[in-house]
Amino acid sequence: MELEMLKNDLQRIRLGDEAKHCIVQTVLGREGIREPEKPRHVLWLATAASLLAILVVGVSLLFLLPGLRDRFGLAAGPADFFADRYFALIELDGSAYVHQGNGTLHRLDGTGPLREIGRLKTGQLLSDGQDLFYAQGRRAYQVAPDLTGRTRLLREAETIELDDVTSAFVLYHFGNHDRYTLFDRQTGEKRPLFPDTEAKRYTFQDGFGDVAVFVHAAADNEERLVAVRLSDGQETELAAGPIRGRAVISDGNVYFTRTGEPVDRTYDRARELWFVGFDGTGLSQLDLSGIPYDSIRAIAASGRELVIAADENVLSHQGKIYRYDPKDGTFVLLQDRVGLIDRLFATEHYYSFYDLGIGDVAGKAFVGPVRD
Amino acid sequence: MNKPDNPDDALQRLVGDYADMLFRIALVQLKNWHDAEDVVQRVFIELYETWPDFASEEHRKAWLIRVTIHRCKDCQKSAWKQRSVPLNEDVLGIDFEISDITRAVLKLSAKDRQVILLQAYLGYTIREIAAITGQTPPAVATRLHRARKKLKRDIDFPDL
Repeated sequence: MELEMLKNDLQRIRLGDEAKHCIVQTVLGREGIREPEKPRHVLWLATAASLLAILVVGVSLLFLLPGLRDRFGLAAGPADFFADRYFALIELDGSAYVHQGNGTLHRLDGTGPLREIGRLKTGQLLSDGQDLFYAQGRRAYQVAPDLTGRTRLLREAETIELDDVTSAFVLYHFGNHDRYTLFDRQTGEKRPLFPDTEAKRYTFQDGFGDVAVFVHAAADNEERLVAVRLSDGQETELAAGPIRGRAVISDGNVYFTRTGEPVDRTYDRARELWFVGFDGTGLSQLDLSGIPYDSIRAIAASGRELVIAADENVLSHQGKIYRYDPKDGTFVLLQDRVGLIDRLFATEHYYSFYDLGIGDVAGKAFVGPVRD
Repeated sequence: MNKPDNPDDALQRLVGDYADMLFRIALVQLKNWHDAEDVVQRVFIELYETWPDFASEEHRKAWLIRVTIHRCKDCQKSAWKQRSVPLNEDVLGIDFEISDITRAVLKLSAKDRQVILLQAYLGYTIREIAAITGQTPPAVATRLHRARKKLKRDIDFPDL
């Protein structure tokens, strides 16, 4: 009986015809952009001949001028786009470090090309501004940006994920945002950040200095945004009510998105951008009327500004990425014709995203300067 | 089964045949209508780009389910989505009252929800679930046992 009720509930959940049509159009449109139809038999010979010529010239140059090898390595591939998705974007000493989903770590200096600097088998990468930090299973490691001098920071009995690294602490958790724990980098001591009864109620959002921002979900599912001081655990409520998406810290404020009035109730997506001070004062909604958008796909902090991925058409996953200055409300278009943004990251000088949509950069990851 | 002669028509047919099922799997995993829809779209993008060689329609179905589960995991790992979604029908995006059993299943952990869904809704055996999820059969059996135990705390969930 109970089982039938479960099946009945599930059977009633359906994608609408419009949504299915949209999926088909997106897949076909994406293919059309990525690989337009060509008369293959006509082009085959020309392509093979061209490749052979390029290969011969390239190899000859490399052998004749060994000094060119390094430069050739730097210049290989597209300057800004690469094929795999990524897990992290970190900025150290003006250089961007991009960790791709296939485990390779790349560096981007200014507007130069991406350069692979090594491999790190991890699903996440953080930094304290000097070194890189990552978790592998039950262990956390620290390594220099050139991937030398790896040291093990801590070991636990269960798998961990890192959330934040400051000069004093490493914040990490177990399982599904369970038991947030602080590792004191000076003494090596570990202590839970929250009491046992509250251990599963917090979800980390962002950290800055001694402050980490979490979403707290009470037993009745009521959500609130809180700032927690890592050194003494003091908690400050920043905003009550559901938080949709992710909260980020920029210039002493916490920016976060809320659902607002949905365009369509089947699309529970963020439409409102809010900010509040670390001390819980000044809660305000920002005016985004300067851009056309249906929903906010993602936000990331870049210095005193925000990078916003906005959907203009939810059904067809079409949108744009902007740099937004909350102080004067101005928008600068960073990327046009993006689609389904899978990940969006930003640092002071760089931003990166991975697009699964149907636009010009579909199926590619991008990293580049956030300002000219 | 090789790449079809007319991939566009084949895609249309497969979306019609499987999109709802894959969407249910993704929705139960992610508990968010839009994210689930995104996952289904990604799965069909992968299918269209690779057109794997399937021995039978059952193999194709299992492949689609396996890729959906993996894409759900990717989605849950995404930094943007690394937060719990509160459990209510508004977030799920459905417009009807769900039963206690469904509510209880949705309260389970993602891994527990996954095995319960594959066995109770899709009727897969432990061995088949192990093949789909990449776990060992004993691990699946243990997880199913624990998940059912948790469900029995809330409701009268039957032994399967």
